[in-house]
Amino acid sequence: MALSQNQRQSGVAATTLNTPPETHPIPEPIPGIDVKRLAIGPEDAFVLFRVDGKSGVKQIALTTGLQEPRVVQALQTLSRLGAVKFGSAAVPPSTSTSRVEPLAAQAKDTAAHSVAAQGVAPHSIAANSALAHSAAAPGVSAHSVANSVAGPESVGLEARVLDLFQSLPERDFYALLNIPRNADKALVKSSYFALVADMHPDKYYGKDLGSLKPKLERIFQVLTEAYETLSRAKRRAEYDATLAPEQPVQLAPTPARTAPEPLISQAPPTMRVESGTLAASTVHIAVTTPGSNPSARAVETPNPQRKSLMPGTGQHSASASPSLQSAGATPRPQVTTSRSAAEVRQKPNVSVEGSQMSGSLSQVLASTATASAPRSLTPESPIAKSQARRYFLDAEQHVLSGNPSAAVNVLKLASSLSPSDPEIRKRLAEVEFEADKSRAEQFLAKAKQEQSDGHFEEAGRLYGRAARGKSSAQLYGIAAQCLSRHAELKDIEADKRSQVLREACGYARKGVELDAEDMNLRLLLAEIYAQAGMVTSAIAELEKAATLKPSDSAIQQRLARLRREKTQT
Amino acid sequence: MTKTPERVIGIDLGTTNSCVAVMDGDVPRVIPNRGGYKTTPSMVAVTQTGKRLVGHIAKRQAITNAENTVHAAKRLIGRPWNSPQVEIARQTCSYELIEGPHNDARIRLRDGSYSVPELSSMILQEMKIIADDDLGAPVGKAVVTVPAYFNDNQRQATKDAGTIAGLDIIRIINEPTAAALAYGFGKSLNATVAVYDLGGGTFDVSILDIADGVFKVIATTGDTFLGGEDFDLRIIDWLVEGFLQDHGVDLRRDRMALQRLKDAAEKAKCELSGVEQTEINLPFIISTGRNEALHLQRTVTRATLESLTQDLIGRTVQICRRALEDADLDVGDIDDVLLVGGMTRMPAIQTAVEKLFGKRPNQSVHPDEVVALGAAIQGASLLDTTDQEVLLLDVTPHALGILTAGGIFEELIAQNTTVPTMSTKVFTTSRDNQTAVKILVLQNSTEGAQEMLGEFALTGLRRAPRGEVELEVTFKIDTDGIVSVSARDLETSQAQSIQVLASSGLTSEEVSAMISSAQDYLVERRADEALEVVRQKIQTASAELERLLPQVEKLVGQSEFGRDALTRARAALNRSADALAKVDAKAAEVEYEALERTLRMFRGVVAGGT
Repeated sequence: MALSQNQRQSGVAATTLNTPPETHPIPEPIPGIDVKRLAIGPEDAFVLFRVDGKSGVKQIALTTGLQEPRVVQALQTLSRLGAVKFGSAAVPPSTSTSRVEPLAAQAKDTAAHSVAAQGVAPHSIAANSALAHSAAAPGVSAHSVANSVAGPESVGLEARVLDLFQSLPERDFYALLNIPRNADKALVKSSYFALVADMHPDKYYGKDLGSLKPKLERIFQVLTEAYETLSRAKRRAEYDATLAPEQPVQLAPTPARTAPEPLISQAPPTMRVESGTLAASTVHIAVTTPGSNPSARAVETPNPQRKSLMPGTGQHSASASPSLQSAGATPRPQVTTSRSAAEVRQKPNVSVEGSQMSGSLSQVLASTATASAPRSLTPESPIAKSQARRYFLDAEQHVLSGNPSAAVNVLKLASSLSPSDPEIRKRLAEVEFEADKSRAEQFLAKAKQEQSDGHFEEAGRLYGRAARGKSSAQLYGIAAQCLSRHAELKDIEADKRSQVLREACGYARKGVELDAEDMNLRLLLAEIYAQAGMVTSAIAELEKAATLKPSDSAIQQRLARLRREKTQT
Repeated sequence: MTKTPERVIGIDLGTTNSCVAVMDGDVPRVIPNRGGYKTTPSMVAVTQTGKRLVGHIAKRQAITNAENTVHAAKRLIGRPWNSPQVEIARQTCSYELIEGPHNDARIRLRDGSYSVPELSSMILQEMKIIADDDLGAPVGKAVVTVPAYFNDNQRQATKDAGTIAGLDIIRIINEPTAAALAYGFGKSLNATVAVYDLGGGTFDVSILDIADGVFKVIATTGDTFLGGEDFDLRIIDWLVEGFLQDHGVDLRRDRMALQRLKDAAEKAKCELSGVEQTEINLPFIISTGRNEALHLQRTVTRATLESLTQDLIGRTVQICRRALEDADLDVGDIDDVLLVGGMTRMPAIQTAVEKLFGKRPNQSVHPDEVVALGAAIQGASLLDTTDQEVLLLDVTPHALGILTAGGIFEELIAQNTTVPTMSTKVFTTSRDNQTAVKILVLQNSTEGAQEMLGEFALTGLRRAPRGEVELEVTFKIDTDGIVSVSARDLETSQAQSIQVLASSGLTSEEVSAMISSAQDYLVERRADEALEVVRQKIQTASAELERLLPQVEKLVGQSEFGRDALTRARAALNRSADALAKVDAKAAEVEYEALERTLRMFRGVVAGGT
């Protein structure tokens, strides 16, 4: 902890001293990183998902709501782990000594001295020595094909494999085999045969492929599945029927030919980090809202310096397929940082929650992903569905690592991609319940706060979530009351009012279901029904109350009044 | 990296004959043995003095030392002791079989007993010596071929044999695939090829797509107990029956006579491929109790042989049809048919193949040598990664899966799946409060026979009603064809895995015994996804219907029509619940539609009433 404190402080010092403001290099994502295997915290992950090769530190700070020094620190960590690289501009501010982070130091050197202009690091001695260092670094076991596989062709292999592996879920069989929809059997065959000649583990027999081997095998398996489906008329027809017709064929370039030189010095060290470390190192830290971050506001105007350094804007996007970054790839929906930043600003409630509740990797994932993935995918398309399944599995990981709120966010994402998947829906409901349970106290505290501030709508919903988590009829009642009060406000629109009242009804009904004996809850429900104009339901509710407590004259009077009302209308 | 590339040999470890080949530069070449023969009999013997003999020399002394000479050990490799195949061998072999400690078959030779991989290793060692002599340097690596239809146990046992022989077996490949490789090597082919491989002990059919140096197996099937030996046995049976009728003596009781009969039958069979009839002459085949010597002398015609073996040929044709079916191809799609294995010299077989495929089979490859050549090509290709000319894409010949509740085989990897491959399925517990599951890994052959490959247990499951705890089972076959299986508890992420390395499996009897004794341990395939979907729909619709029922009752409960509608609605609710309880997705779908109709009507009633 002392170390990170030190880092934080020196980071602050560095940024405050640095003028003009944008001297930080633009971080770029490294394709093919298995984020879940990185030993990073939620904030680091949040930062990682905002790294798109275009946003500088300030923009990332803006879109994450984190303080700049924290962003710098996160980028350092990510760079050390090989998840991002610094493609251009100046050396990142020195925040720690090489005693602690030899690789980071090396990486900085590499970035600063040899690759500033192109944004792509050559296969250099510096890179290799950085690798050697990282192998010795505690907690990170470096493993690279470059260490065991000789020759330049295997370096290209790593890029090709990672590119293709990343893009597997997004491509349909035609795109995978790189053929048009109307390709004949001979073309299917020749394309498959050419692809597998490169993408078969036997091609690299005797070479230690390390973590590439399972990926290679997976690619081979999917290619084979594609071939076997498309080369048999009946199966092909069945498959074609599942394809969304509007889905354009993405003719990606043959990876063997056009893949860029990979940056081998940074990607591999992360591959062998044991999966258990994520849970252990996940720290819950409050996320600051963008609105409350003064430094973030300051950078809303685009930075001219940054623009000039990145002429090829739009080449990179945070979560898009890396294979499509290569030259000549089909343009695809871009996720620009400014856009997601705007979204965050437009939807303050997203970040409000983050600021009050524990910020975690999941929220990061969700907010990033809601901004990107669903927009680029047609819901219910096979690709979207497979993506949804991946999110679904991710969610399970979050549940297992004790982070149900993370799971909720990922599942919501999955649900938006594949709304008809019952399993996802069911799981979402379950996990939401779990998440609410674990956060009920926080919701309750927040709800009280909102209530005392006079924000009854927010308070009502928060009470509702707290009630769900605690299964408390009383809290449901309070939730309903809050919403009912909000509905009474003068300036509320009719539509909004009926919606709020519907929600209030829902909460009150849940309260009654939980505690059928509670007369007050029942009366509350009846009142809200009446308030919403659902007189019949209100009468029915009061009748039940009357049978439970026939002696209560107040109920009888109220009932009589409602009946009169009903007959008048 | 200046040292010369390591040599790797290709060995065709056959049932009756074995063959070794190596790549000389770009040309594969069969290495002749010291006697100048290109193939070496797969025979091992132990002499009176305890000396071990392998190959031709073992074959030559076989008659005088029948009880201590092993032939066709390949038919027993990886077979459990109580399998029908071992039972047949016990009745027909001149050597003595005994039960080994791991339910495997052992062979008694003189004072020692030998496991089958051990005997195979002696043959492999002999092949290695032949190569060492020829190349002038010891060879360390080899590619060994096995019948395509060999199961995991048999492959593993063959690999063990290589290890015993001091060879690093870098890859086990399938014989028909190797043959196709040797056939297509160096040619610029773009063709679909069928390989008909009838060897000494096994029959395989593979159908391959060949183009640009890639050899992709589309389908493979076969019979590991159908080969030249069976043809020999038919002749032996015919001779023995005839002798019994003539002299009232059963030659089967005499091991030496049996060995002589076997030799003579094999010789006659081979001769009949060239001539129409041949003489079998075995003087002093046996002596009677009164020291009277009996002789066997009979004439065999080609027609006799064909009528004796007609059904065997018919079986191979059946298997070819199945392979075509598995490959989803018609005979017209096959561009070429390769004949591999000594048995394919038999005219009746060539005729049968020609009749089936509608074209003359290709006889450009040498049926005895082509497999070893293919193995050598594959070996060189694997090691030489700078200039790799060929790539083999082979398939798994058997379906793999696990045994689930009720003894049902749940397939995870289908037959003819290209390897490497991986498959995952989710299962649930099958009993309330079940805390452990035993995963029984099985392979399923086309005939429906299941053989167990291994088992392992996953423990520490949460106590819960049946069906609640979910387990994920993953099967993986890597490039070397090695099967590994893992299971994971989806709640705790706790995992268990095995590499399937069993050297002898269990019989179906044992498997069924296990089913009854291990009911607690079985798992259930999670309910069909279709059912899940309709379950959700029914639950939603039922909930709404139940909610509307009282309102509707209030509104229309007085009229006869209303009462009738209410009764029918309640019946629909019950029926849909029934369908769900019976796990019948189709019925549930029907009931759901009924619910939906009722619901629409109710909605209308309620809307109109308020």
